[in-house]
Amino acid sequence: MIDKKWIEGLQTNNPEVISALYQEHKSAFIAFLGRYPLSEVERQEIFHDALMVLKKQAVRGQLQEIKYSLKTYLYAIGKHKAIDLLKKNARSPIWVEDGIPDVAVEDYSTQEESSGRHSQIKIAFEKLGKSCQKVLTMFYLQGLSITEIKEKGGYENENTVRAQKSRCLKSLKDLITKPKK
Amino acid sequence: MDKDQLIEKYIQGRLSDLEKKSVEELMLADEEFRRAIEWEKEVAASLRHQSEEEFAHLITGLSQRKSTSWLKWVAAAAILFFGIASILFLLQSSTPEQLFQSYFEPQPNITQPIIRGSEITTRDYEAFLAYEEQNWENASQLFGMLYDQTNDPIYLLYQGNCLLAMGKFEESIPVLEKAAGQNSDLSIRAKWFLALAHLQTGNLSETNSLLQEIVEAKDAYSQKATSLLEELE
Repeated sequence: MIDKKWIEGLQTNNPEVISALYQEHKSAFIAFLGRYPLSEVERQEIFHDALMVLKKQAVRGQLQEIKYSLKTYLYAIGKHKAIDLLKKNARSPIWVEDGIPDVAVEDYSTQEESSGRHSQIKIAFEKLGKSCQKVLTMFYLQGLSITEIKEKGGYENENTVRAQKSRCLKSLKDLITKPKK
Repeated sequence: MDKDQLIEKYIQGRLSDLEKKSVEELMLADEEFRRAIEWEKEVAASLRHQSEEEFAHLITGLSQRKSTSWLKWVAAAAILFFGIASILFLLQSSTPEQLFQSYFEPQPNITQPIIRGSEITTRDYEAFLAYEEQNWENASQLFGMLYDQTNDPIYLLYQGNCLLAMGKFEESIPVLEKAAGQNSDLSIRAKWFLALAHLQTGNLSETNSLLQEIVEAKDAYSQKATSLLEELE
């Protein structure tokens, strides 16, 4: 199980949590990849790619289902990426018994490519008030249910949360369709 | 289960098999429902995309931290240099009026988020909109009315700031005194602006004693208060 602190930090881009995650694991992770014939730059890139996978899974609600610790899972992604890269470059990966599980890593690169619509929504979202940004982040990025948002955000009841969410979505749409200065 | 709840569960991938079937049927039969789902899917995808870009930026920043550390030293040295230069400048020419000008910065609006282009038009919203647009006269009147209706001292703090920004220092004093006397959390912020009002009206002993209180409270304004005190000495 991955600690909630990491998952929430990844979902909300909490700079302290991300910095701690980065500093805590970087050197050991790169040293761990030392068993594969990879360059220093490649190992560094794999570290970043593995962190990106964690981020993508966090905002898709997939990280909560992982049964390993954060460290084991991060290394498992790294191992998968390293073997993938070696195969792609026709370099033969050497099998090493390292106690790190083999995991399948979804390819997110083809999903949700950048589009003009994304940037329209992004600009509009930045113009929303803090309370709207918060409720939409909790719902869409943290995957919190309406009841959880009620408790976390101190709302009176579920209907208040639903009304707030729907008002915010309407404001967001209005900002895109009827932009003002 | 109503349609809103079905959409919520769909977006968060929490539908049961039976609910999945209802969603599929509604998507075919109900145009409005289909559009609502499409829109929320788009919002979810955009927010994810945006958040992932920010994350990538953050980790790139972390990886460059070491290599750019010398740049930080250069920046720190520059800040120190300009800091010392501006303190020397202030020491040379600090009349109370000039000190007021360099220290007064209206309290930022952290109470009512303004959504530009929104249709909300409560008095509260109007007051903060006027405040953010620096329409001090109008904002001051609205905050006064809001305080009369609610007795919430936060409105006095903003009203006091409007008066200071308009140069109505004498008038701002009773308003800020009232705000300072009410709520402990708000009190220090109000005292900071009150100290500035007294500074501008030439009541230096009152300014000093308020600044001392702020320094002792170890609040967000303590640092500013310490440096203003040093300059006054």
